Amino acid sequence: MRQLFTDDGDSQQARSARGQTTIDFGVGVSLFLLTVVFIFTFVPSLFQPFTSDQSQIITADRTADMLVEDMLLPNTTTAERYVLDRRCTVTFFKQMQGTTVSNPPDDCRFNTSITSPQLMLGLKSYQSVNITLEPADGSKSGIVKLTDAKKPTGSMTRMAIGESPPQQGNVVAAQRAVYIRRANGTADEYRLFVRVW
Amino acid sequence: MLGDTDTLPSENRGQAFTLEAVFASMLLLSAVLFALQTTAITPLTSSTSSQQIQNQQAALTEGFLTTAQERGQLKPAVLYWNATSEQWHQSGVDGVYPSEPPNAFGKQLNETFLNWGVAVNVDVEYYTQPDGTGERDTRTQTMVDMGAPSTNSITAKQTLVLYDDDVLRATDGSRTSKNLSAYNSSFYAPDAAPSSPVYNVVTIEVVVWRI
Repeated sequence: MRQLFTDDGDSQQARSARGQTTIDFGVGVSLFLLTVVFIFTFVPSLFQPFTSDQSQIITADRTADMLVEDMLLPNTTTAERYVLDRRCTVTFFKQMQGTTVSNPPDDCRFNTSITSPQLMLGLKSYQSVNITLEPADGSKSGIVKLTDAKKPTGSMTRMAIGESPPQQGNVVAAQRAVYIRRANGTADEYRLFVRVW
Repeated sequence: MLGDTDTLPSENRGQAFTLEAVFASMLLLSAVLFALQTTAITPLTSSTSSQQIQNQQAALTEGFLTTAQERGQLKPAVLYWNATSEQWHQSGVDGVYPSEPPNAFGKQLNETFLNWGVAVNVDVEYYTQPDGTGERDTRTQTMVDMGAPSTNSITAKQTLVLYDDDVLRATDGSRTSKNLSAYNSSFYAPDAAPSSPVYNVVTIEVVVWRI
């Protein structure tokens, strides 16, 4: 009797008492798996600032400082930082790009015979650097082309040094707001970007 | 027969899977939250990268102020005052610009900061007239107010001297004809040195933060 009861009644009860369909199981397990996957992808990203190369940040910052506060300024006693000398800046970029500069100005603050950015800026040979001059207006993008101050209608130099930074990996960028005068008295603002990786 | 009795508990237990899964998820998430609070590392904590951003912003703001000074845009911006209504030109009901001012300084502010997703507050600090003991106090006149800065904001200042023969600027930026010394009470800054050609020494303070 008991077995019959358990055979019919309880098994029916068991079926009706189970009350959980496959969908319930699916919902529960997928919720759990989602949480686990979320945690495994989120927690390592918390440590990202501490795993990147800390020295690159300092390198980018100091290189930018060196350029806008010393190297590209006119060689006068009243030179103000962030106000760059047009001829020296264009010569610097041309020199670093490897094109020979005819009649380089002799009163610039940098050595006009060095052509490697790493040597000029004091970087290690394995450090790659990309220096660009871009428009100051945030709504515009792209690299600026400048003419030499002496020849306002001459050829334009593309103000970029070094290869483009990689699309992946850690690239540290430092930016400065600079001001370059033209020969006719007007002046423009630009952004100098130094990217190190 | 006995096997039927044995299968009953496991079939009944199948009901607990969903609830177990929910509890397990909640337990995992609360463990992570607790661990984050203990170690104080969150995506919003000041880390080396936000320090780097602050350094860049500081250098950019200094460059911006130097450029504005070189361009001669700072003094007209400080003198862009409507003496009849006693507030900045076209500055709205509360006398403060909610966005950039409509002059050359404001255009430069827009290009350097607003277009790059950076918010700005600009204040002008000036001296009051000397009191009985000859001491002067400083007061602040807000020019641009874009709200309360975030915790990662930086400030840069530039000092400027206003002379008695400086003139206010009109709405279109042109010079008016009355000297500053004639405006003692309708200009925000008083003549802090009445017996000298200097009118006042103002400090422009720019607070910058990323939105």
